[in-house]
Amino acid sequence: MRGGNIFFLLVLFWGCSKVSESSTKIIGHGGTGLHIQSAIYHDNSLEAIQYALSLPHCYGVEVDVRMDSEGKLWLFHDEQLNQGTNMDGTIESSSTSALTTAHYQTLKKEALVRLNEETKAVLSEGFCFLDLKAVANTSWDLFRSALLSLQLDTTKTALIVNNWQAFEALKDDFSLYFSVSDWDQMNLSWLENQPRLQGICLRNEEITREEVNFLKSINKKVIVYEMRSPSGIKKALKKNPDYVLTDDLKLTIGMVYP
Amino acid sequence: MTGIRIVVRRVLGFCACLMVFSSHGQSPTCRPFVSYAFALQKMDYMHQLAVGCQKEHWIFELQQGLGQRNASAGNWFTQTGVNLAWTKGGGWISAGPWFRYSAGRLGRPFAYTYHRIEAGGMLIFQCTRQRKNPLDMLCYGGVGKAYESRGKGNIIGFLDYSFNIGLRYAWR
Repeated sequence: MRGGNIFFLLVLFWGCSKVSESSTKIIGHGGTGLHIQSAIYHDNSLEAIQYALSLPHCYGVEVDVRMDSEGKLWLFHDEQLNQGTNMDGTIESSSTSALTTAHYQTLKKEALVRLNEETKAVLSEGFCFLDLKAVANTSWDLFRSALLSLQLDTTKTALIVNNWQAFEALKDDFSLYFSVSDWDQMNLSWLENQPRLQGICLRNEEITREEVNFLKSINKKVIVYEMRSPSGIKKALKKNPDYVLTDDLKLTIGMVYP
Repeated sequence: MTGIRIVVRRVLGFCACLMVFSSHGQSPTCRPFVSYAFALQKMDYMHQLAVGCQKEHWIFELQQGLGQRNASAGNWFTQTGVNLAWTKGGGWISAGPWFRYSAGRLGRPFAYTYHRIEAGGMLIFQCTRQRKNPLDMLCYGGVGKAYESRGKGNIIGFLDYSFNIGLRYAWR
């Protein structure tokens, strides 16, 4: 009888355990998260990247890359510079010297980050996804040259692209992931015949667990992004993707490694 | 870390001096009280128990809290604080500024300590008109600066804020 009780209690405690067996790697979206109230630093700032990579169980960060009018690369998410910085216009229309003086309009006034050797050294502390942001007249050959000049370590860096021109221009030199807006947009037969494509990047609400499993069955990795609330993060983790790009890094780490 | 210790020591010293000088000439009666407050700090929530005493206008309080980060889905943390307030009023309501230093520790896997220095405003509503042992409702909020300390030389400061609502039982 006593043995039965002990067994029951053991089963109960096992069931109550919050320890997760998730194999999903946690990536900070734009550093520690995008548009999140609890973030200490602005997304895509060097401080946010350093902070994210210093947290336990953070596998890496995702940053957004844009090219200025002189072919230099910058980490910035939005299309317009007036959305959060002290400048007007766009990265694509601004000169390198003008962008060097730009900073975010936050309490800490973090500087806009240029993707150079110094930034590369910080990013190499973890895995890094470079989300390439394009405008209508983006020259992918120029983008490719700028990225090649950085001599990125392809075992610790992958690119996320969202159009075919970018994919064709970069597929021979980099590890690539394709970002699609919804599942129906994907051509599954094309996907299966692209050995250079590492995986797919989709919004959390646009993909199911079955679709994640299907992509894994054809040897494609899955990145799920856009999650801020505890329930959203929980749903994403249940799908068991290869990576989650979380907007609340500390919360996600706390949920996976309680 | 040493920098934070120096700041904490100076702040506590300043508060002690302020209390001693401002108590001069006041009634020597000190009313002890216990209180409970539910606190929201940035994205965290916390249950907080406190003991303290009120001497005419001044309130001194030791607080011990236990909470969870990110609205119930995150890690546990404990927080200990010293709260100093000055209130003035009559009848059923009194109000005034407060100042608090608190330190806490966030649970695993982060396992780091943090320090908070905060100032704000406080409202005390007397819920019962009982003269001997009144039950008061507290409502206070403030803004300040928090410091995360994750090892030697790794200290990060950021803006923090809190809102607290609770009950206080005071003896006369």
